[in-house]
Amino acid sequence: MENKSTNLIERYVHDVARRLPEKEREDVKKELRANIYDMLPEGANEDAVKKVLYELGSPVSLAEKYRTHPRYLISPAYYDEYVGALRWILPLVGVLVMLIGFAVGAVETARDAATSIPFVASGIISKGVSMGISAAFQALVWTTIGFAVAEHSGQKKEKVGEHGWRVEDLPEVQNPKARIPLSEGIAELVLSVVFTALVILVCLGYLPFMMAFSNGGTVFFNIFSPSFLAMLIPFTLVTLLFSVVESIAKIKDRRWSVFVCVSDVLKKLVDMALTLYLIHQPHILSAEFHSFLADVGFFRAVPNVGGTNVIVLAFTAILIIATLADVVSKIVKTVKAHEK
Amino acid sequence: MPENDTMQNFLTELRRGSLTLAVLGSLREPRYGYALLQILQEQQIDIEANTLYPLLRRLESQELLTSDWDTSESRPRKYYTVSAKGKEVLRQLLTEWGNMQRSIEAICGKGEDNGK
Repeated sequence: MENKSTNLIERYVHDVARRLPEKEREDVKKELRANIYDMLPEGANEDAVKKVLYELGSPVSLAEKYRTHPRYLISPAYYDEYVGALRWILPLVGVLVMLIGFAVGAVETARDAATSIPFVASGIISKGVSMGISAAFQALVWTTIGFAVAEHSGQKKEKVGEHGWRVEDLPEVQNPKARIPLSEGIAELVLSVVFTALVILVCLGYLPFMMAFSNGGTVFFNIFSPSFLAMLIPFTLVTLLFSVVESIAKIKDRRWSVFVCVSDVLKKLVDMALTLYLIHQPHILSAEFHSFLADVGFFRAVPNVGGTNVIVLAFTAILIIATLADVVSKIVKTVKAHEK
Repeated sequence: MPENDTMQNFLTELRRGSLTLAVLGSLREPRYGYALLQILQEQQIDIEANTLYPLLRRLESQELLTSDWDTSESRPRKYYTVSAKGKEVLRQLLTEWGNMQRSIEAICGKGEDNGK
């Protein structure tokens, strides 16, 4: 019996000590053992030992009380920033990698010469979703590790100013109307990438962009000239770049901040400039489509004015007005969001 | 009357700082852990073994207590005594204790007519 009691005490003491820093373990064991024996009457039986151990509480809670420094991966001082970082890093990385995954899936199914549409679609989607999810997990892990390292490398948060913080740094009270839902940024990101991919496929001739006209029987025409399509690719990529920056700004800030406003306005102006440049190119339409239009008398109905077609002129005017109106409304929105 | 758990939390919080005072005060002469526990409990101080032992260790590491292992008996025992630094801390804490008691009494009234 004596042995069994001793064994219980040793197991308890050991279980408490193993949860403590190594250099304290032996001391704590010695103290705790002495205290437990003091609490027991001479020649105590197993039940008495159990009673004392239950009185001391679980080894986990007792070890917690012995520990002088609280243990955490990310302390309250960093927690808000940690959650704030995750809130934009995870969706952004997840969605971006998912889109890349769609492309990878498309290339893979194309390489396997798959023809059945459901098979191709499921291949693309499963690749995209699995890559997106695993990337989001990776982002979670690395963000956490980054914050934990910052926490434990002993870098205390920098104190600013005389009081450790400054009244001037207080954030403005946010206007709820200025919020941008997370879904908006993600949807824009997805749409602009998908749109760019489609345009590039058209330009490379993978997706023929044709129109059928009945002209005494159905005729198919390539609408755009090959030189125009080749030129379109770099323009589309530039547009994509600005759209991605704008979407990232929205996903990150989630309100009409200056960053979001500037990226949005820049994107719109670049879009406008590139579109204007493109529609004033001389050979947009394919030769066959051009002669078809000439045959049906299209150019007589909508003549050129000063060397430029009326449709192009009208489109130019509408585009400029619409873009400027949009830019002004976004700036007004941002200014309102910053009003006190 | 608040729920029991809430009440217990208030009490624990209120007592937390006073335990240091009680321990430092009782260790003007050397005592080992369990003996100290019994003395405190006799004085109606609500403290449990699993709070006292870690507290002793902490106060020792903060150099408010000194300790000695007595190995002359059949069982080794660790005896704690308040150090010079501990005495000074105790003196300041007692002054503050007195101030706080006066302030609270001034605000809430003496024990008899509170809560009315």
